[in-house]
Amino acid sequence: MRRFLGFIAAVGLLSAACGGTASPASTGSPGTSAAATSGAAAGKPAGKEIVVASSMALTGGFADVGKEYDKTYRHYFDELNKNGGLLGRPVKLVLNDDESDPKKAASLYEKYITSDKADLLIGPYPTPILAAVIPITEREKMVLVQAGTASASLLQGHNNKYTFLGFTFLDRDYAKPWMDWIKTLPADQQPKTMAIFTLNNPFTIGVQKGLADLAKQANINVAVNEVYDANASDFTALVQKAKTANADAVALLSYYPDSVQIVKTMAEQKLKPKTWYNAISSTVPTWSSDLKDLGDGTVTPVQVWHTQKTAGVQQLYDWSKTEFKTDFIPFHVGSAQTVAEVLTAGVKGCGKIDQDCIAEWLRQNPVPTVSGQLKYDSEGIPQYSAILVQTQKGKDLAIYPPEVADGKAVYPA
Amino acid sequence: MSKTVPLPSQWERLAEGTQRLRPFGAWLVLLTLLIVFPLLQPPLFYMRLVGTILLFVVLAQSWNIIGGYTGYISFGHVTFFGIGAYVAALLFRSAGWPPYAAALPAGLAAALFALLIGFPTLRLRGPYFAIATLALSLIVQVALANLPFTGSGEGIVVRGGMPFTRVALEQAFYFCYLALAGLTVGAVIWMERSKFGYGLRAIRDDQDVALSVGVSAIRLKLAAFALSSFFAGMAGSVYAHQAAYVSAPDVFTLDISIKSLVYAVVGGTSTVLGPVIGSVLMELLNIGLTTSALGQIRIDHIVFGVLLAIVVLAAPRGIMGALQSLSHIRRPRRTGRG
Amino acid sequence: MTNVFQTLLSGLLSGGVYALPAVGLSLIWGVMKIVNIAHGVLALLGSYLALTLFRALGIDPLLAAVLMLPVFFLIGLIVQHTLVRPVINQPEISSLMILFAFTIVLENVITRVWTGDFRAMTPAYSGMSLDFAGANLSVVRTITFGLAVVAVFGLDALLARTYIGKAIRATAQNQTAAMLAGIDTDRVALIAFGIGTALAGVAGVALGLIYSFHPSVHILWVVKSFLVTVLGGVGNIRGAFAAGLLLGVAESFLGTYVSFRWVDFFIYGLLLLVLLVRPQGLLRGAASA
Repeated sequence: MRRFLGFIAAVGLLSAACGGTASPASTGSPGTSAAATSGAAAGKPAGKEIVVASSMALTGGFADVGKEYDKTYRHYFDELNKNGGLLGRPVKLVLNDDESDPKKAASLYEKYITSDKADLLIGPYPTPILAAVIPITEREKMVLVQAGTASASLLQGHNNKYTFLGFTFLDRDYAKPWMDWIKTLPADQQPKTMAIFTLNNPFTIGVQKGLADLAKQANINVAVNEVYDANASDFTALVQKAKTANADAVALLSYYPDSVQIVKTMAEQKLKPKTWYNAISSTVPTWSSDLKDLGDGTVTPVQVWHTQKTAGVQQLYDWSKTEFKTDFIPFHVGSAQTVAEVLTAGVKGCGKIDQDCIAEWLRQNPVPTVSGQLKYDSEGIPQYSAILVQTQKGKDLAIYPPEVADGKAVYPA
Repeated sequence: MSKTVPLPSQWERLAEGTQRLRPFGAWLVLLTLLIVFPLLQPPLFYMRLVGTILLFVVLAQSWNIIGGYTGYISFGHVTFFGIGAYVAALLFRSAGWPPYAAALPAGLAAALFALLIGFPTLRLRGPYFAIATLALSLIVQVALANLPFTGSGEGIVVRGGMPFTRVALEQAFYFCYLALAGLTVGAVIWMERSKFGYGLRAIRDDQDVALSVGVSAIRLKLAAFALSSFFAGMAGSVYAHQAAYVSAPDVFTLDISIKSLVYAVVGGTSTVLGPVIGSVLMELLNIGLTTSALGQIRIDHIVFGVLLAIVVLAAPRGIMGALQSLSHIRRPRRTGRG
Repeated sequence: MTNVFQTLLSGLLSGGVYALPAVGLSLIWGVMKIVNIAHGVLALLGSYLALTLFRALGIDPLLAAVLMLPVFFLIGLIVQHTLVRPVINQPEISSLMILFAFTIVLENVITRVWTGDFRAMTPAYSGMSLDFAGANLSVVRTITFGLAVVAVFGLDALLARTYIGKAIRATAQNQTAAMLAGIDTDRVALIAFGIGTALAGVAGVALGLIYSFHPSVHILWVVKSFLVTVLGGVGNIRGAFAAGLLLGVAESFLGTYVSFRWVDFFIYGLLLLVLLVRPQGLLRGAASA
């Protein structure tokens, strides 16, 4: 017994001393412009709280992005409460750490639904988590607006009625902006050989399938198409293969920690393709500080850019600049904002907290968001829209499509 | 003049009763309570909780067959659970089989695999068998995550296996787990009194001696391993439907192997009641530690490890052993008792 | 072909680092006849401590590796004395169980202190490489290879030249004979565990320099170390080093020329095969090595 208490005490002391990575109790930064996207009367919300519940990867392998969602959700609902709340009532966001563990996320959502009786749910991140959570929310008939997975294998073909996607492209379209941009290059300069490194995960495999198709259509030879398991730690062999094949286009379909490792390995092995793409890593704010100049030249898709003329994009840009110390809106901040906007639009459109009504409303009506006007199909998937962004000297610039570009592409990277 | 035999104290009666399982009546009462419980439509959260406890009863009790009675500690029990889950998922994907239909093939597949792999591995000494089972869980995980027909990295979605609505669905899963728990506990009760069980315990205690009295060690060990895996596989098949998504890294977690082992050992190996008590107490502790306000501290594995260490160092027969010792302390030396 | 050469070189470099955790494991196994399943999590603790020293105090990981030696030696002594020694007379499985218990406790402690986030150490020289006869040698890996060589040959010298080293070897060969020769085998076991754990700490720093790590990787580390140990011969330090190199090269060639995604399967499969096929001390009834 004493040993047990000793352990507890020791752990408590250590946690107190070294902690600080616990979920922030942030209330968002003050002072964004008064006009909120909701346009509701700026009165104080009154009445019974509306509880919006979520789990998020605040620690663990997905935490780099999970923290962006956490901050953005909190910011959104703080702003909402400052501007009259939802249906005139204050909103309380309940967000707990699922430690990047699908089982923990599943049990948290079950608890929210069956035990805590939350009014509304909002989506976690990323695909493995959603794979465990979507069956639960669909079974319980609770609306889940999420930008955690864009995996067609999870979102299509299962008769989902309550799941709504906050991303504006599915996994198979993730690489489309890259390939579309490549087509704008002069024909003799386009890359001829591609190497694709894919994590063994439903989302990244979906991206890979789409990319392989697009590459074939563009007559690019996919010479190396390798999948690696989550436990792989040494990417030298992969990079070697790409070098042997003289790949001048490389795609990193991986989450942040792996992407960083692969980039370092590419530098060590001197693999320098003309263009290299990463699905979801380079707009994480620590990309350039972790990799320094090794991270330059890469391209990645986003759905929200400050050069767009969508509703609320300027406020989001101002806020995220101070919050994340970047000069762009990180990809997942944009998608998190979109998710929150879609959820509140559905509630407002319906006029009450009724899951079926909300779902039906979202399917029938276009939703104005920071990603544009979203029109949902019967499976809760919006129309395609994507922007290609490149990291140049530590800064991120949109390079495609031309109407939102704020920088010139650097090619070869 | 004969000594008067003192009457047994309450503790002694309890310990004796629990150990000898004379009151089948007690099991019947428990079973009835467990059957009635979900029919009373309790909050879904509690029904789920009891269902999960029942799942761990199956896992811990099945582990007990090979780890407790046969003495072959396994660090890879999740392997068979995972195989069962995949078989159920594949049967669903190709032919729409619901969990109660898939359970038997899932269990059989797991048992078959155990037989195949048991033949070479059960020759190993204790610690090496343990490490081999650990390696096995890793191998099977990697294989299933990369083979194309098992969905490779994408996993398999298993939704709609049972066309019930919300509450009825939860009840259905609950009853699946209850049935499995009943089967597993029943199998161990039978095993304890059978020649099979005696043979296993002989092997556990001293294999060389057992061999010398004619116990066919390899056959019994294989049978125990297969039986243990059979139940784990069936549990996996129900789990696949409940989680509605099967993917190798999520299903083959070391955590499940750890829990199967810890719950059985802390409860008391080589007893029928040990894994049951262990599962109930430890899973409640686990839930308390991970979902309550206190639980944001998340030290469940620290607690498991400490309890396991305590058992190894001081109380090798776990909670059941402690209960028995308690009864011996209070009971004065009797005459005529072994 | 430069590519074959590159593959070979990369394999050797990573193989050397496999040897580092393996030799500590091999030492403990050879002397005490127990498999220290906690070896991986102890190494991981070394990784995290080096990370903290690096981030908070700017201490270069190589310096941290040296600092780890006495700290982990002490940790090894404590673990051996409080956990392993009390069960030494119980069946072999008890020591494995208690070390397993320690492993899951320590992993949980690590997660609480450092969170489950993926970590990497990035000193100034990461990402750089040297040119060597047409192949690229990663600077970090060359350094860790050097660390491994120093540690392994240091241990080898210790075992060959010092009194305690001879005592350790004697106890590993035949405990009874060693006792009869007047060696305090209890103390030898204690010290061997300490040395093995010290090497685990250093191994953790090396592994943490090349790979990213998180609280649950230790199982993979210990499984690979186990493989290297068995391949090289339990208790055989030089054998472990050679086996480590072999494993690194095998992984490298398999990954580059056969199939990257199946490399782990081959490795764990090899472990299982080795366990089943290799005799000496692993089978029931066989005399212990």
